[in-house]
Amino acid sequence: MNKVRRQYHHHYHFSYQTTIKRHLASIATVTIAIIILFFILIHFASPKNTFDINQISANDIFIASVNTVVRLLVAYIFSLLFSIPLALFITSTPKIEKILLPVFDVVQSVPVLAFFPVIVVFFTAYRAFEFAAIFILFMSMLWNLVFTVVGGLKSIPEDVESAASVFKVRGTKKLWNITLPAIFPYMTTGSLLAWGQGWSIIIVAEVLHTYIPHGTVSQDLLGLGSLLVDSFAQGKNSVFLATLAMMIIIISLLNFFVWQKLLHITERFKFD
Amino acid sequence: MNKPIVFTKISKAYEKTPKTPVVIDFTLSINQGEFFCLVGPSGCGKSTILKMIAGLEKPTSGVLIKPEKVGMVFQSGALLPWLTVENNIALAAKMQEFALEKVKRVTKEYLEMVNLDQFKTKYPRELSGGQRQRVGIARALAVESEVLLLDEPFSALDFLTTEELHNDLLQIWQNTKKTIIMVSHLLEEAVTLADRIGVMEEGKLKAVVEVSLSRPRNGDQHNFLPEVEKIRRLLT
Repeated sequence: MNKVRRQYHHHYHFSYQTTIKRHLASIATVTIAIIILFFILIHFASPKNTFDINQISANDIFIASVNTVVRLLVAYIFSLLFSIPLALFITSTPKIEKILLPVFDVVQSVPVLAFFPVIVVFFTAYRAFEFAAIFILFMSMLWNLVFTVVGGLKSIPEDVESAASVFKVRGTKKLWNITLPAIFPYMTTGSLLAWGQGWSIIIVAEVLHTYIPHGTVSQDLLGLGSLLVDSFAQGKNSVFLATLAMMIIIISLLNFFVWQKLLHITERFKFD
Repeated sequence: MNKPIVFTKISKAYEKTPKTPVVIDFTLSINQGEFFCLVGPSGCGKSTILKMIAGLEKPTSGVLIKPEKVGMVFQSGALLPWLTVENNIALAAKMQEFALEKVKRVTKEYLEMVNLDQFKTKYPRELSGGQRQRVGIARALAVESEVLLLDEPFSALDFLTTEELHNDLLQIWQNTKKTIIMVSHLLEEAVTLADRIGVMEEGKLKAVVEVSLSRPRNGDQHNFLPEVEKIRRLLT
């Protein structure tokens, strides 16, 4: 057993407390997460989101909350997965950085909502309403993450980069052992900003009917954003206030249990 | 295996407009097991020489014979704040493709050598400046190379800590028989530690001075100050 364990460690070069058991647990966790994500995507690909604002119950508001948070989460995961390789590519050489940074600076300054009608028309042609909403959230979240991650990459001290090179910490080993931990504080700040942006855009992203020619409220996606807009438009003050209260509660809980904890943890990852 | 480090007519210029020469016609041989110190004013090219040995910079022209693997101690420490003292050292060893048992062994051995075994679970932010540099030294030793490079490692430390680290470094040098090449802007430090001192100015090696004082050396020693003055005169 010891021999097997030693060979395993020697081959993979993970932290030496790591065991096969822990790796299997990680693989199982990732697999379960992928399966859950797959079911969420299936559900979102063929949604049953039609709702009648006159018959909204507390349960509907709860389901709307789950829908909204899942939309934001899926968009956030994609933004994060996309932003890190993009930021690494931007900063890979001074030449690429010199060309791409100003280009992306211009692109990110174009309001994301300007693209929305085109995006909605494209996705509604395939009846993929959820993807329209997630795509617009993804676009609104992406740039906050890209620019903060670029900032993080550029803030890694030169001596640390030199030490990595001298001690042969290269490629994926460098990514896992140095780059990702070093940009973690910046990723957290970027994520916080991205979610803030997402909450602002959700009010538009879920109210699809305004962008669909001859659209009706039945084409909106059930979520906190659409409930806020539709209930306000139809004078349903109690639904509006309940939805608003739910949104405030969720944002506060996320702030308390996720962002504050993460911001506290980031202190451990900051260079002097 | 243990060859001298040989610079033959090495020059280095950065690709700027106009091209800025930082090292010009640098020729020097550093013997195995020697404690060599490079001194000179800021911007004279001494750190560039160290970076060339470490493989961080390539010479523009000339021939450089150097070992493939070196350990290096940086001015800022360059420790990873999210890793404990032990893991900072172990990471450098792991990256050399050492077997797990060897990683454990060298980490323990060098932690003890720099007297930090009781701090192994601490994070860099919990250590003093001197302790951080000790971790940096242990990390550089953990790659098990024949050459140890030090880039002004004690410049940010107070006098007493520096003196203590000088003694520890000399002890390590005597125990491990490694070649040590150190960059310093303090002439007294160079005279205290080195076998030979390379004096650099404006990218050129102006002179190599052999320090003939017996060890242990200190400022009160007979001929210590004249030795320092001799080097100072070369720089002015």
